[in-house]
Amino acid sequence: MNKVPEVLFGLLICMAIVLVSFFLISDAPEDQGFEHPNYPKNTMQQAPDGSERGGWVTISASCFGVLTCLFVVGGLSLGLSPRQVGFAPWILTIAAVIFASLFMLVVFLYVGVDNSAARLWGMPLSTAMMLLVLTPSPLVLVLLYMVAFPRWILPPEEKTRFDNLVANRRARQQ
Amino acid sequence: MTFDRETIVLVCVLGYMCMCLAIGIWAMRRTHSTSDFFMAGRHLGIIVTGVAVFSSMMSGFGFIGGPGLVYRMGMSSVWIVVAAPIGYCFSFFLLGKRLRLMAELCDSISLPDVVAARYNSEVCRLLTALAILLGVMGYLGAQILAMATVLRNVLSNHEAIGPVSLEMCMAVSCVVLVFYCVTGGIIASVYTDVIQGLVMVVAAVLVFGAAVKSYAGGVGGVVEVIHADNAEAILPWGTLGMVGCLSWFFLFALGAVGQPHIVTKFMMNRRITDARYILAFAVIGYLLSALLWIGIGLVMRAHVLAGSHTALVDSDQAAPQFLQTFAHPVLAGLVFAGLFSAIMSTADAFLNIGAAAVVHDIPRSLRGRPLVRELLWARVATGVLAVVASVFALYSGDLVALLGAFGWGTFAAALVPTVAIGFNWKRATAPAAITAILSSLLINFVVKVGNYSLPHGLQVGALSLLVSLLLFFGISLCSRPPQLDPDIEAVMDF
Repeated sequence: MNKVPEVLFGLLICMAIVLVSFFLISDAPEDQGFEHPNYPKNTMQQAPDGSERGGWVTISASCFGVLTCLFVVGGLSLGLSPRQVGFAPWILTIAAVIFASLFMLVVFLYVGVDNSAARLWGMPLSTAMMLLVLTPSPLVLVLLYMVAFPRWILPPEEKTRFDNLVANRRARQQ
Repeated sequence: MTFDRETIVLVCVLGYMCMCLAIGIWAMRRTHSTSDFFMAGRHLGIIVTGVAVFSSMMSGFGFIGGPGLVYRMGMSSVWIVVAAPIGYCFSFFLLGKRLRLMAELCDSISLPDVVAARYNSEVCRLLTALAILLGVMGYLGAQILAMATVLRNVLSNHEAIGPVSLEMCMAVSCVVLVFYCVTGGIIASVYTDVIQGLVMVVAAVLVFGAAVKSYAGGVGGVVEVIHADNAEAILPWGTLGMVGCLSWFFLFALGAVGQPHIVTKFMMNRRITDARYILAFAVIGYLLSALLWIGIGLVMRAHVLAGSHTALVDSDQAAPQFLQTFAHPVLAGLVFAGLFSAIMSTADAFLNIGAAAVVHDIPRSLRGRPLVRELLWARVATGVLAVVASVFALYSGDLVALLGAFGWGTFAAALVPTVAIGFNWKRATAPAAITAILSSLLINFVVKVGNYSLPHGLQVGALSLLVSLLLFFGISLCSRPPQLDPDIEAVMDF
């Protein structure tokens, strides 16, 4: 009936495959930053230009990021009331796809645009996208949780059934 | 002027500590049973629980380590902040209702209690309690050490006091922390969390404003000077690179639901339906207090690059140096109180779950019955844990830092599958949960102790979380569906 766990397991297997690829792609130590020549050691780092950090790492890491977005947002379906499924899982699936798309937009802006002087509120476009759109975007899910709680998460009739269940259990224990 | 600034900071910190002591005395009158001590009698309101949830997550790391990381690596560590809102959503969707229902059904007073009921396994209870205790020792030690270090800075900077030993500062910090945790248990802890959370939010918003104003050109000016020095630092992946950032994102988005000091609070609210509002308070509170994390780190990097501040000798000095140089004395005092708040709100949560593991979960799993006079032993265990963690932090050298770093990843890898997935999926089995917990302990310890580095900045916590999830799903799917307690099965149908 509920195939969400199997779908999540599939996503995890895909993530594991991507993760294995990280071990296979050659790794230059400087790609994780190097000490700034003008400042004391272990205080400030610089990094090579993005073009030196692209290629397969960017592709594999992007896949990992998309799979993470799909897993985290898609996984919310596990918390829905099993009797109230309806169209709720589809809404969460769409939300997962949108969240993953916003993440990919950050990647595309980073790879394609951020050598330009374009700025949004003083920030490079990819950084602005990350801070101003991707970070607060889960607030939509917060709103959804607030509004849809009585239908999707715990309908009032189920709360009543739960109260009866607790009362019966207490009575049995006495 | 220097004297005035330091006096104001000292008064703010001492005032804050006195308030914690007062809350401890007030909460003592409301603590009559172990349920009150560990679960606040399941009577907490929306605002109290919401603020407690976010302030437990925003530890001293958010106020000192976070700005330090932004100063050092640019935008890399901001992925932890990006992950937090979706992590809270994941936590509340999966556990906001389920954990509260199970806790009420089983009259549980700790997370391992609920785990034991779900899997009908005392081994699961024992392993969960041990994983919690191991993480608590590292985290708590690191928090107490941070508290003592900050207090020493505050006291030593004051001309009238002069140099003070770290041991003395640790003793003072511990006395305050232990006093309100022992007298008032979780009730004192969550009500101090409310004050602490409010102080953190106000301090963070004001400091963010001060940080942006301190630099000519505001946000644009800060970005331009960092970009001119090294463009990657201000781009989304910072200097760490994509893989490192995304493994943080994975670990913190999924891992929040595995943090026992956070999810235990889901069991304490008065009404189950309150969870819908608590989530909003937690997310908004966290995002506002994260402004300090990002703002100070970037602004200090820009100031140092532009030559308007001397180079830092330690990146963790970014926040203290900013407050020393650019913030109004009253704001600096408020932020130092906020910093203590951030550290103490996390430390008290750890003390509470650690004490529960020691006096409730481990004895129950080994002896099959609880201790007599559990409330008394809980108070004793709280004090002993704080002292042991302090001594451990003072004399274990790098081990405390190792266990502190080990904490989040271990909790995540051990408890995300066992609790977050297992409580929402009837096919999940006890052997799968046991394997997930053991694999998390093993991978985190082996990689940390062996000091192995993973390719492309991949975080060990992300690796262990992925492995434990795969094992959990794989073993459960390959096993026969478990026989659940009928009441537990009924709760999983809600």
